[in-house]
This record gives sequence, structure tokens and C-alpha cells, in this order.
Amino acid sequence: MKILIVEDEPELSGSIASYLQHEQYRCETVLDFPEAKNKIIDFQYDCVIVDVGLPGGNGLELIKLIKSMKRNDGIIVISANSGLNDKLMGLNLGADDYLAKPFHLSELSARLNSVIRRRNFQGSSTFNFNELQVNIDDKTVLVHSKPLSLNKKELDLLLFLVANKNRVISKSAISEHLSQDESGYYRGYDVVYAHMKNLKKKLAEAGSKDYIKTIYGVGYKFECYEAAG
Amino acid sequence: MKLLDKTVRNLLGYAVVVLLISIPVFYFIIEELYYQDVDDALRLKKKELIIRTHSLKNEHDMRLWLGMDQEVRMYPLPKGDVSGDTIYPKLYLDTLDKEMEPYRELRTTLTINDKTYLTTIRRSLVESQDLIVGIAEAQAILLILLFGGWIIINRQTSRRIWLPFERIIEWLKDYEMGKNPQSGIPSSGISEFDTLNEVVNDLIQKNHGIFTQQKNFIENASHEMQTPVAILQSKLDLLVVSEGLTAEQARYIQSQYEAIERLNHLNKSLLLLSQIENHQFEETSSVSVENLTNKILGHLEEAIHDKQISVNTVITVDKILQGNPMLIEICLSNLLSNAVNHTPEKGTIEIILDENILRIRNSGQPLGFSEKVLFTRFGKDKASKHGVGLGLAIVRQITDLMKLSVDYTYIADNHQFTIRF
Repeated sequence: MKILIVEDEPELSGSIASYLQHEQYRCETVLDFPEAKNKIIDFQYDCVIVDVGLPGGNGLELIKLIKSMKRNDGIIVISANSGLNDKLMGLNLGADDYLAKPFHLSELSARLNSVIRRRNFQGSSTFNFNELQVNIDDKTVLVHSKPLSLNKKELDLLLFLVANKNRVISKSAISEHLSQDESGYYRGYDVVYAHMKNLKKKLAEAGSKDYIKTIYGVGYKFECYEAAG
Repeated sequence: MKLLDKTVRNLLGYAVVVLLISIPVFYFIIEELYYQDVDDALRLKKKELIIRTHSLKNEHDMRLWLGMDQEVRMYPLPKGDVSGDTIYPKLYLDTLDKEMEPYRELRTTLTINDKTYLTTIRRSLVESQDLIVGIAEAQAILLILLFGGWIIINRQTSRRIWLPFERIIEWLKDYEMGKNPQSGIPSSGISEFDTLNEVVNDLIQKNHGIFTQQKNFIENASHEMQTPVAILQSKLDLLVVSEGLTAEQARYIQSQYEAIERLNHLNKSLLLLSQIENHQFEETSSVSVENLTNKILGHLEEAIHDKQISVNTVITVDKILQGNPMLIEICLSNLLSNAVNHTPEKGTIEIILDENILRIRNSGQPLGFSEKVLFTRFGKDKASKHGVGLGLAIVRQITDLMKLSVDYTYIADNHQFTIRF
């Protein structure tokens, strides 16, 4: 999987590349508009992560370029401008997703997974691990082949954990992920605790093993080392 | 008092004083002048009398002559009793009207044919009085016309002269901080006002520049802060997935995450405030307050459940608001989250909605700080664990923008926020 990261802040693009390399992505980073343009014209990527504010041009122009070349690269827009404009313009131009800075790398990684999965029509949108089966596209969960009833937030939480399986996800990232469709207020971790408790309880009651490990109060990890799905 | 009235009032006062004094003074002057004239005539008559009486030779001639002139009377005096001329006013009975009429009379002594006579020459003032009154009246009318006209003309001229000034005032009244100001008013041709216009215009443009700069500064600062925060956060994300994370390191990372979240929230709130101020939420649609309230309560479900808060919703009629859906949601979300956060365990929250108000009431201890700072930015001395001190400032900003009002009262151990539509 080849990813192009177009971000003028080397520290940030370095972090992104470093995080994504663990997920078996091959990342290239470019720091300005002209260089990004050349890369996009010369090579094909599975996904391009593009910052809107770039030296030498607007990142949105790169989306237009990719679209004009009738290419199938996935596109994720990242922007420091959290206003609706960048988001709407980016998505209207054909970007697959949008993230406002600052974002958690686990969130970016989850979005990237989903963009690539959708782009490649891989069909394998099911995560199987021992007794647990998670159908990512139709959002159903089966334990021992029996459907498990989860509410929207619990399902969201499980999908997020699965998307970042075998890596620690911070409470901070989970809290943000769960409240992304809510406006406004700073809510703290109560939501995370409550949903995590319920999810674990429901999984346990259905006969699933406890794969969700608490990591020193800083986050959680979905562990599935033996036979990665 | 208006400037115009003030000048006119002074002028009017002066005119009245001058009129009141001048009319009697004028009357007396005219009268005096007329009396002098009459007196001169009397003296002339006396001279004429001296010449004429030379031709009178005897008593008979004299009686005859005196009989012809009603104005002159003579009375014989002992010889040698000669006195000077005196002129005085005197009343005589008019034989026709049976009325006393005013006269001027000259009394002198004349010597005719070696006999001394006390002689009086009189002249009626009846006609003259009418004349004097007539002249005084004409004068008064003239003065009134003069002053009246003066005041009216002055008033109208002043009004015309002050017109550009009033336009400047109107223009300043219409001026709103943050709105793009129109540049001044057309030149009035009066240099003082043109200068005023220029100065005010400069001042407004300068203020507007500073204001815009300030607004953009907050927005730019917030944006600029996003990138370093993003870097910080990305490094923490890398740290937390790194191999060999110890419990101690995890604790430090967690507190850094929390600090970053606070910073992030603060940043977003500031940005939101400045975007509301900059009218960046122009899009409007119909928003059902009832649906929105239920949606937000859904988001808050866990917290409500955890604290065993009982929520009582009384909705008489659903209110449909016209406004930016995102802003309305932020506004209600802030108020409801606030209520949930500040309600003690097993407390109550009551939500009342009808055509005119949305009231959110929750049980709790009194504020412990002045109500006045409740809606201000960072008004509370100590930031609470729930927020950064901007939640209610955002509520106020949004309600102001939507021309709604929001107020706070503490009644019977309950905090009560009311939005009036």
C-alpha cells in the first residue's frame, strides 16, 4: 500500500509516516505543492493525505489534479482550518474524507483503512478472530455466530478498536472519536468509560474472551496476536 | 436641549426684552418730541401775538380780536407785574364732548397799550395723542416683524447649516462595530463640518482596521496554534504505541493528553467565538428545538444515568427556530451539558419548552460568584474541571446573533437558564 503524505510541517508528516509504517503502509512525504504535484503525476498511490494550506499552492488544487487525471487514488484532506468551508470544498471536489487538525493518528489510521477498503472493493470487510466476527460494512457483530446487539456508540467503539487492533489507542482518541458527531462541549472521559464498560459486558455475556486490554489508564488495546485476521 | 433651540431661545429672550423696553421708551420719546414741537409753536404764536397786538388800539378791538381766537386768553394784571414764560400741560373741558381734554398751555405777560395782561396760549393735544399712539403702534409692529423674521430666518439658516452635522450624527448612530462602515458623508461646503467629517471618517476607518485586525488575530492565532498542537498530539500518539511503555510513562502521557485536550477545546471555543463575530455562519434553516433537545439529551445519556439525575421534560408546543443549525445545537448543547455537569448526584433537571421560552432548570448549590460574570469570557476565577470558561460566553454570543435573549436566575435551590424567543 502506497501512501503519499502532503504536509508542510515535517514533524507532523514524520509522525504520520512513522505511525502508518507500522500498519504496513509505504509512506512518502512531500513538503510543498510543486513537489506534491510532480509525485502525483508520476506515481499512483492508494491514498493521498493532503493538507490544505501548503507552500506554493492550495492542497485542494491537488484533489482537482487527481480527479482530472481520472485516477482512483483515495484522498483524505487534513486542514488546520476547522471551519466548514474546507471540509465541504474538499468533499465536493471528490475527497474521500476530511480531518481537522489536530487529529489523533489512530483516527487517521482508521479513516485511511476505511478509505482504502472502499477504494479497492476488497470484499474482505469482515474481521474474524476466534469466536468474534465483525462485519465492518453492514455493521453487525457476531459472537459464536450469534448476533450481538450493540448500540451505535458501542459498535463505533468496537470498530475503532478493531481498526487499530494490536495498538494502544488513547482514551483521548476514543473520546474524540465517539463524540465527533456532537457539537460543542468538552465532555471528558465519562463517555469512554461508560461505553467501554457496556461493550465489555455485552461481549463477555455473549461468551467472547476479553480482548480489550486497559493500558495503564492511558488507553486501550484490542489484542489479537495469535492469528491476525 | 437642541443647539438650535438654545440659540433661538437666547435671541427670542433678547428680542422680548428689547421690545418691552423699546415700546414705552419710544412712546415717551415721540411724545416728548411732539411736546417740544407744540411748545415751539406756542412760543412762535406768542411772538406773532406781540406783533399783532401792536395794531390793537383800544379795549374794544382787543375783545373783538380775542373773541376770534379761542386759543388765546388775556386777563388784565396790575401794572408792572411782569413774569417770564412758562409752559405746562393742562386739562380743559371740551364743551361739545363734555370731556376733559389735554392741552399744552403757555403762560406769559403781554403789554398792550401800556396795560399788562396775563396771557395764556393753549393748543389741544387730542390729535397728537392719536398720532403718538399710531406711531408707537407702527413701531411696535415693525419691531415685532423685524425680530420675528430675524428668528425665523436664523432658525432656518441654522437648520440648513447644521444639516451636515446631523447627517454625521446619523451616520455615527448607524455605525456598528464590525460591519463595514460606509465612508463618510458627501462634502457639505462648510469647512468646519467637512473637517469633522474627515476626522470622524478617519477615526472610524482606523477603528475598523484595528477591529478587523483584532478579530482576524484571534482567528489566525487559533489556526496557527492547531499545527503545533497537532504535532504535540501526534508525538503522544506515537509514544503511546511505542514498545516498552511503562506505567509511569503512561501516566505522564495521559496528563499531557488531558492538557492538550483542554488547549484544543479552548482553541476551538475561541475560534468559534471569533467566527460567530465574523458572521461566518450565514446558512440558516428550520430547527426543531424539541428534536434537538432530545438529540442532545441522548448524547448526555450516560452522564445523566451515571449521576442518577432525573430529567423532566415539559414540552407544551414544539418551537421551530430559524437559524444556523450548528450554532443552535452548540448553544443548547452547552446549556444542557452545563446543567448535567453542575447537577449533584440524584439531582433534577427540568426542561420547559413552549412558544415563547426554553427554560432549563437544575438543582444545585448557589453559584459562589457574581451572576454578572456568568456569561462573560473566562468570567469565573477558577476554571472548572468541565470546561475552559467559554461555554456560556458562546451561548450569549449565539443568542445575541439570533436576536434571542438568555438570562439566569437562582430560585429555590435551582439554577435556571431561560432563552426567550
